[in-house]
Amino acid sequence: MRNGAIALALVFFVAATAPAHAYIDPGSGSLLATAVIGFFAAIGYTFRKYYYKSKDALSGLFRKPADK
Amino acid sequence: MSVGALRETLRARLEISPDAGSFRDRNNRVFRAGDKIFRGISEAAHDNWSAVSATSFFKALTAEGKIVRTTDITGETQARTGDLSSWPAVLAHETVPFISYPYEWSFGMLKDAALLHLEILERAIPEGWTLKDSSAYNIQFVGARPVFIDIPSFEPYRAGDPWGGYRQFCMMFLYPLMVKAYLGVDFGPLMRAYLDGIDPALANKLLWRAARFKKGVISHVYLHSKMQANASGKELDEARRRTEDAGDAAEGSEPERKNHLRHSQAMVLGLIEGLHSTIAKMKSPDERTVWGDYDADHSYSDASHQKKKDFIAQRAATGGYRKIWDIGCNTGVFSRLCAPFADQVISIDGDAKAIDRLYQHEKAEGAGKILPMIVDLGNVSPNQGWRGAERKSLEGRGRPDLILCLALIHHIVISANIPMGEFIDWLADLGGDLIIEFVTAEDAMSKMLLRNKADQYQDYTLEEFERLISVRFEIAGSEELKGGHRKIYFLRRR
Repeated sequence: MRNGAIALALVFFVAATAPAHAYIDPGSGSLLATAVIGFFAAIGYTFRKYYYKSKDALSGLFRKPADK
Repeated sequence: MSVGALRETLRARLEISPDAGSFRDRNNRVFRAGDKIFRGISEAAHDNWSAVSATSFFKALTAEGKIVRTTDITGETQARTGDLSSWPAVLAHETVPFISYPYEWSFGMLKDAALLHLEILERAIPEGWTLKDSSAYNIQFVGARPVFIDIPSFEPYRAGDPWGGYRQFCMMFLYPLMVKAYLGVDFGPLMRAYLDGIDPALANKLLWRAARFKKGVISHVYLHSKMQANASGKELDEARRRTEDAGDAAEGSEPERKNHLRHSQAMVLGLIEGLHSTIAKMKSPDERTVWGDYDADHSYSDASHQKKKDFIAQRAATGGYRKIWDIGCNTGVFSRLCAPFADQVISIDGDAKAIDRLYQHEKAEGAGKILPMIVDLGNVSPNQGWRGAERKSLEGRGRPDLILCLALIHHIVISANIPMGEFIDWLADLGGDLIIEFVTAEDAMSKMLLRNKADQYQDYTLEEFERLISVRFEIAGSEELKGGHRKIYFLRRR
């Protein structure tokens, strides 16, 4: 769970970085929108990821040896 | 070089021509040579190709038929021919039998294309790759199967970068799907007018009032459009400062590049997965249609309908036709009848519901020969875009060997007011043989179309029809149907 908390903290980590330069203009406003929507989406994404990981780990822990 | 090889090279040089719709990304250009498709690519794009084609996600997606099969032919004779020789590297793509455009797709087709685009991103990003754009034109349909065709769109994913194709994805996939799913409005005419897709500001005007509480509208439409408007306002202010009011120091200098927030991979994949979930749940209001009535949308008795089917199947089976167009196909009963005898069937109708029905059927069957397309037959897709050549007209993308035109002519002449002679000329100009059903003015369906109209169709008679078809075709067979109220003809092009 500690790893999960660290990963979640990393999700919120923001720092200046070089902008993407593609042949299409991603749009300044659209990039901001992806930051805002992506911020909330990342929370769900990270929780989902660690939920399934924990579930797998727990089911492995309590599985009877015969099931393995 | 032998004479044979020289002749081959000269022939290829004459044939190879750049595709008029492939010019936006300076890193590559598509070329056509007959049925073959080549792509000249830059050094940088070639480096990307060499790396991405070795990844496991790319190999798997290609094996699943989701990415077009591609081979590197750099250095081969064909790659050193004509305009292709000016490119550092050349790829050869498996040919898509017939090009279709998003404004000709049904809801289900655009939805599946959108989900494929997102699936590719979801599988590419964890392996360090992304797509540089999100054009819906990068996906084509082989039968009812969507295929990603723009290989140079793959580029390395740099940690911290945002998803640069988000805006284009919204404009070309998400908003058109929302317009249909949430408002019940067909997106085809909008996409035909706005070739780059629906702008966030327009999407907000369309969706905010009636669909603000539907999934994704507040975030991807309202918030997106407001942030775009805010950013545009700021950019305009900056432009004003730098020109009229600014001093010499600012004028003419480079606008400073903005540093963007770092986007973690979880932010990018979370956004993409969220869109995947939103789109996967979208449904067309047409799905509520009672299809039993639609499938039986003809006025034939069973015996008469079978007689019509036999007439068509016999000609399609023995004519050796490779490309069949079913014009006014409805839900595609006769397209399916002919498909076993042809390489491809293009099934065209102006009714979006019927075409989506056909698409869903073909998708479920896993069939690969029928391409369903929504086209208003009184206003067929024209040449358009840059220099009127970027997106080709329907006829500019291929020609049929055989055309089916069944129970359609009364709609064209009576409903759309197109003179019968002009319609027959158009069919003849397409270049194939023709199976056409004439629906007389005495038929119940014609009477339905005439009930609210002044009858100005005195020349809509069987005699005039036969006179007109005889000018351009040779009548090779005919049969009366429905007690003489209809007649089906097999016509050979003169």
